Amino acid sequence: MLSDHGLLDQQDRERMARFSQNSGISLVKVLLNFGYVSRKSYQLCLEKEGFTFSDLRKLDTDMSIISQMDLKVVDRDLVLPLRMEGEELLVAVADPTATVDLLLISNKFGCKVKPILVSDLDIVWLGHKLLGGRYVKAAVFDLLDRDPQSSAFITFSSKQLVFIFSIIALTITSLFLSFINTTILINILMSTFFLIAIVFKVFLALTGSKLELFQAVSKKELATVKDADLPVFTIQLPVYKEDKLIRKLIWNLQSLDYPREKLDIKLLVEEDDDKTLNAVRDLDFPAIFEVIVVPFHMPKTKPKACNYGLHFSRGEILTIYDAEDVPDRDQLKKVVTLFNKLPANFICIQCALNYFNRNENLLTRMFTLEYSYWFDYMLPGLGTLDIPIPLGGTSNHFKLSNLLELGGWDPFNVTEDADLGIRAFAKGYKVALVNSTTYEEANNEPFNWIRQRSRWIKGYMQTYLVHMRNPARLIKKIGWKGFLGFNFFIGATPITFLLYPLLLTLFIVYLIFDLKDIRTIFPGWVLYISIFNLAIGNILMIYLNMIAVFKRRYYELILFSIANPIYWLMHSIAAYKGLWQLITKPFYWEKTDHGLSKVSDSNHPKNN
Amino acid sequence: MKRRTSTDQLYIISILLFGYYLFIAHKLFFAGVYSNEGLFFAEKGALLVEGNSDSVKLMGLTFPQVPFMLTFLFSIFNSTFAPFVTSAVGTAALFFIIIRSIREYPNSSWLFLGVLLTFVFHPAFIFIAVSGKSAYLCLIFFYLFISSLFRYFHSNTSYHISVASIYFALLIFCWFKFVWLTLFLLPVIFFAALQSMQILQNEPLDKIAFAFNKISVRRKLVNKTLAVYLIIFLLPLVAIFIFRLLNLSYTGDANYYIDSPYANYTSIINQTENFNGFPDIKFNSVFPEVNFLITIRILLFAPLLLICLGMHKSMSRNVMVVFALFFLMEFLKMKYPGVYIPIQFYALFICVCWAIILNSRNTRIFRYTKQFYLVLILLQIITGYLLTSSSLIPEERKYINAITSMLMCKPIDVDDDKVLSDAIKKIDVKKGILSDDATSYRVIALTGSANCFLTPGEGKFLAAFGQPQDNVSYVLISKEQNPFNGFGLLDQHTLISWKNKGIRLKRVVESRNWELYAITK
Repeated sequence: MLSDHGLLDQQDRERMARFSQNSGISLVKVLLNFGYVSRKSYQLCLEKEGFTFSDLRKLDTDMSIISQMDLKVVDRDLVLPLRMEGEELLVAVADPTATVDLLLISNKFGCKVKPILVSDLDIVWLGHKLLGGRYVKAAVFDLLDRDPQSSAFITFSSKQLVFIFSIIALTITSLFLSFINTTILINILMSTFFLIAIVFKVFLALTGSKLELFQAVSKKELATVKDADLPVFTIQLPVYKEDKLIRKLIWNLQSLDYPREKLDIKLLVEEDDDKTLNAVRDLDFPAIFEVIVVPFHMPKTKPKACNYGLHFSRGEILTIYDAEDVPDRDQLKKVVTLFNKLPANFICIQCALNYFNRNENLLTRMFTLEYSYWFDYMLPGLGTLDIPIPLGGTSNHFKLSNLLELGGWDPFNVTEDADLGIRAFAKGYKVALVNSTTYEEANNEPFNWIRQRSRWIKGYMQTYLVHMRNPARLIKKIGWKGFLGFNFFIGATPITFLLYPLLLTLFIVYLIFDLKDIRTIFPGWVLYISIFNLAIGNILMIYLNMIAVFKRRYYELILFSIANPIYWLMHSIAAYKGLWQLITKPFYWEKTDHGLSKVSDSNHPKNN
Repeated sequence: MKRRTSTDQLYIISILLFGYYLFIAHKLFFAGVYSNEGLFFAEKGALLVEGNSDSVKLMGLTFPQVPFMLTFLFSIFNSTFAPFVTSAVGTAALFFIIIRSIREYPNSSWLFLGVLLTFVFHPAFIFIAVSGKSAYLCLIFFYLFISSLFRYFHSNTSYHISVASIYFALLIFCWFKFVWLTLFLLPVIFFAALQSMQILQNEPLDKIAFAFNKISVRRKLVNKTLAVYLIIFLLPLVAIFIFRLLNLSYTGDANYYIDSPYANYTSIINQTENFNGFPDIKFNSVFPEVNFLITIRILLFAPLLLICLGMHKSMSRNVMVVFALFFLMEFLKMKYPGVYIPIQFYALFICVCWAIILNSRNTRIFRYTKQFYLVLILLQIITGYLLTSSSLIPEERKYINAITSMLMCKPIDVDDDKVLSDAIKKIDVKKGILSDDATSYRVIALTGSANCFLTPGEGKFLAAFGQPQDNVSYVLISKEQNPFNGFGLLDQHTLISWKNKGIRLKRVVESRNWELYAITK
């Protein structure tokens, strides 16, 4: 039928049949999800042939019938029995010619079947909504059941609360007993901590920068990779109301240099996200991903969606991209090559992240400066020093079996990737970095930026609290070096952001107003140390940003790093917001709006 | 395994060299030969440990900072001798750094021999190692800075450029005048940026013309030059700015670390000993230290530069680095016309030669010139002796003469301040000695303890200065012929004013430059 309408040729048919046979995926699923025919063309073709599509959502269903089906079968075959209609079983199908599947249903239920043609997306949506309960519960509670100590379900343990309140009580008592000395002590401790945290980052960055010339995978090695030897690669794309980005997403995925049949791309759509689902439905060109609908369950977070997607993933290796991500063309092949080179205990490969819209405004420039030093220097530095690496939000490629063994992501942690990096390290697994970059869209709107950053900082606080529930146990697991690195990297990051405005305000008030009361807490030597710490801390951070963009050859951004102290103030606002949310709504996922950039990703260097 | 053995051997040779330096330093020290800088550090270290002075001021503002802190680490056992041990260790470390970097070089044994001969016999290096001065740190950081810069030119990596920047920041905190290098390296950086750009033209002038006429290339060139310049020099310049801010906030004077005799010994020395006006020495009448002839003096001091310039004839940016250093030296003479240039500025050219040879890709030339290289090394030792023994800086001459006297078993002149400090050690000080360490730091350091001295850094000093009879037992007064006279508070004028007030003073010890008075009731 499709061939008659010029939608498929002989070669396509043969490839489809071969792929369907090898993978066990139904033909219609292969047709609509692996880049052969668009849903619109498919529908148009069938309607021309006299078939009528019904709206599945308006049809009555009988749970006693539906619950007899296995979700994975429904998802694979796109066949869903709905209810009995007289003597006949009403079955929703995406392919009116799927007689074998209908026969199997007929045998299973012992009655005649009456097929009703519906959109494949509606079958997926209804199937997951009604049958996905078991899987979504596993996605939420699996880690909590298996390893409650590693779950952020409980934000503050009772011991941590005792410790925090003891410190507060001690500070208040000391302030009553000797206000000046206590304030001086706090001042010195704050500014010294600030400096040490930054000096540690400089040390990490210098260590990381040594690897600049090292190529984890060379072009020569890539040239020897044979398509037949490549494993199935799962790409998870968790999205929520990203309807504007779907087209872009397909273009980006299509440019990946990886055999199409060996890609298992899952678009994870929330049950209530009709916008995205309709955007997929309305595509006028073939999609190259499968849609997985994540049934409603709290918390509504990205890790929960990813955990849910794990149940339907076929790949040996799995990665996550955001909707707006533009990975390097050869990224997947590089990852496979590197996994083959590395020892078995390397279970994850992190790629560098950077931005395609870096020159859009001051915020995107600052964001680029920050990401450049983070992914090009800090993470390689951590890797070299054998300190746990907090994984980046996307483009981290896992061996699926090991990821499942670790229990997947923690759905209660809003920086689940950072947490997973620590958990993997604690189990003796390693994370490697590869010389490949994924270009993302830098947040170009200040309030949107603060929302996103508050979530990240809150997540760092959650991760820190989770792993510091039992410091002795953590030291035993990751060693002293890892423990100190974890404290100075994960723990110190939110603390420095929280301290920064306090130190800066105190200092500015001292400089401008020269108030007597302030002067009493800044005797000469304290002032010396405070100025030293604050000034050196700031200049080192500015310097770090400068070197990082220097490596990327973004020379035009170098001067913007001088604005870093202002950028840090934005971090501080986000940190306080994150702290507030940590106490009031710890699992709340601050949604970041994407697609705000007016800069096209076609301008980024990869496409030039 | 081979490399491991090799590193061990390098360690052993460096330790032996350290022993050699320590032996000479020890001999000279106990024979009564000292440097101002060494004793300045020793005195500040003693004040820090024993005195009641402001520790933040001492630790945070004594300049040059890095050598002082390093010296302080070595002052656990003997604070007076610590600077001399530190300089011996530092020079041996410099040797180690250089020979470790030449291991990979094709003709490393020849190079190694040249380096070893220089460190063992060159008078400038011996002076740097045994004098307790901070020159060794200048050479270390300068060598590392230049090497990193060359490596950056070669590999274009941010690691080398950022490390170069850190070394340069440390270098400035060892010798402030290096800050002027920021001016003279700008053309080099511009040239390196130009060379790194993909422009079809081969000739540098064609490249420049092309870059200036094509907007996109011009923008890129400007951005890159500015970027490299900022990466290298922003950190040191801002570090100095912050340091000045600290000086300002703590002492009310942003230039305290340069101008105050309590923070920096050169503030007085550069107006006395190292200042123009000493009788001319024959050698210097032929090659005086004046503008445009400094370059000749440098070439005389470091003839090895000839071989380096030959090796780099095809790498103009590296040659430009050497010229930038020549310009720096000329500039220093212009900027500070009355102050003689100390030996480390000359010695750094020898270190630069090794850095250039090691970072040259044109190693084949060295294969044919290695004998010539050794001849130049020997010649360099001889010219080094001629220049150092006729140095315009008395301290350098004094050391070389003392070493020569030691070798010839002739008597060595004992430092006058040693005589005084020995006498002070024997006195029962009781309430303390009022002294101004702007000028008397040598005496305090040689006494070995700051306990018995009351210096301006202590709160009680002003009271004691006004009413010495109530606060101290002794006062240390500078004599008219003391070269530092007039730079401190306690001189003959003060003595007269006290006497006029009716304070009874009795001279108990006297040396060529100092008088110690006891206050009698």
